Amino acid sequence: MRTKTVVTVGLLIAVSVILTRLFGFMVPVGGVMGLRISFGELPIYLSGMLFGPLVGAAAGAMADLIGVAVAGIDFFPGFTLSAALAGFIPGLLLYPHRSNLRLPRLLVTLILTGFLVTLLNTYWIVLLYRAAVVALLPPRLISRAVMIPLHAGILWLLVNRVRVDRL
Amino acid sequence: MLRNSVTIGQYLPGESPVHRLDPRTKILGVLAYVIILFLVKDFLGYGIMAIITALTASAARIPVKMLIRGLRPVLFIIILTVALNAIMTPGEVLYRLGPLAVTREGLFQAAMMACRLLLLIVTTSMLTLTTAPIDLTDGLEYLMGPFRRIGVPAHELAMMMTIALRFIPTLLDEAERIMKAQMARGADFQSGGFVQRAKSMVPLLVPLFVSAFRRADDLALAMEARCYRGGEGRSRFKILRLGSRDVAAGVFMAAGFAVALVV
Repeated sequence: MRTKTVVTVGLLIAVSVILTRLFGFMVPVGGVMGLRISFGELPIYLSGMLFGPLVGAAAGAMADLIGVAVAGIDFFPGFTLSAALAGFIPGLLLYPHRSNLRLPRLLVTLILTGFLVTLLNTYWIVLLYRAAVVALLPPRLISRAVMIPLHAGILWLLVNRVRVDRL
Repeated sequence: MLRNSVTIGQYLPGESPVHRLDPRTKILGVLAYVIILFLVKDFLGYGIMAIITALTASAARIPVKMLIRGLRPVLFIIILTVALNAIMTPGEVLYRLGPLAVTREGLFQAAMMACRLLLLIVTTSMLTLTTAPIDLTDGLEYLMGPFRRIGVPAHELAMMMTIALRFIPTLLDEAERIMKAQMARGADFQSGGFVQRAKSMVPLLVPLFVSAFRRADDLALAMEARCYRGGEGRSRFKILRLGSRDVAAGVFMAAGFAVALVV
């Protein structure tokens, strides 16, 4: 692994932890803190896109673990697994096309990843807190639907306009 | 302003026996604890798990106040979970208020849930209270060592974590500076509904990413100029060794977990 890769992913993990734990806000849904709105997945998508699925998955898992260590709450292996998926899927679908990324592919990938992660995390929350799925799922899906275009827009900007990979 | 409101890493330096344990012992211990906590099904088991936690906390000389303060951010979640479980679970009705009924099964379920969550949070935070972040990543690197054979880059992963931990405060300062700069230009990060607030983050995110990538470039260059070349043949300043203390802790935990599972 190149030094540049190690260092860049390390910094992306730091950005993810900051965005998730400090700039994100929690919304109570269905009686539990069922919805977190943050851009913390963005750096994880990016590590997958730029360095491949395995690095992306590792970045997601590590960001979750460090986030738990920093915030000191809610360690559950299920959330770590979802975080790893958030890096793995974009890595799988976007990494081979990173030099010639088209918007439809980016959107489809984010929709796939986003909804899969949301569904999985909802399942973990139900498992952990025994919250009601009917109350939990609709607001979580709606917020995901709103976040996907924002995620896509920012990723598009970073990869195709700012060219972060060449900085 | 942000850095004062959030403590980064809760490490509480100390010289207690728990502080001096090998980080590997503590990581594996907490991992086993979390798994057992989900396997235990009755209050006697939870009681024994609570005794293990209490003994460890007193050996670590962590002030009780500190542990309770760690619970504050999740107290709301726990109370809501307990209340919902008490109401939602069907069963023998103990108390009725309009359409809401507190059932015997619900109360039992709620108490179980509260025990589990409390123990989970207190114990995992004990790991981060008694272990410096750098020791944690060191311990993880050793623990991932055996997986190197199947191609897991243990050293590189640990290095990423170390870099992430080191740069969280730095990037946080950076984020704050960007926020202030954008606010000076009229950006509004506080008001509006959820879509508005999410959108208002964009002018913060793009500069933050650019700065992170720039920093990565500088850091990689600086490391390579000092002959960093990954884990292959790298020597270390601090070598982790398991001592009699770790064996004792291991035996104590294994005995405790076995009792909790059996009763």
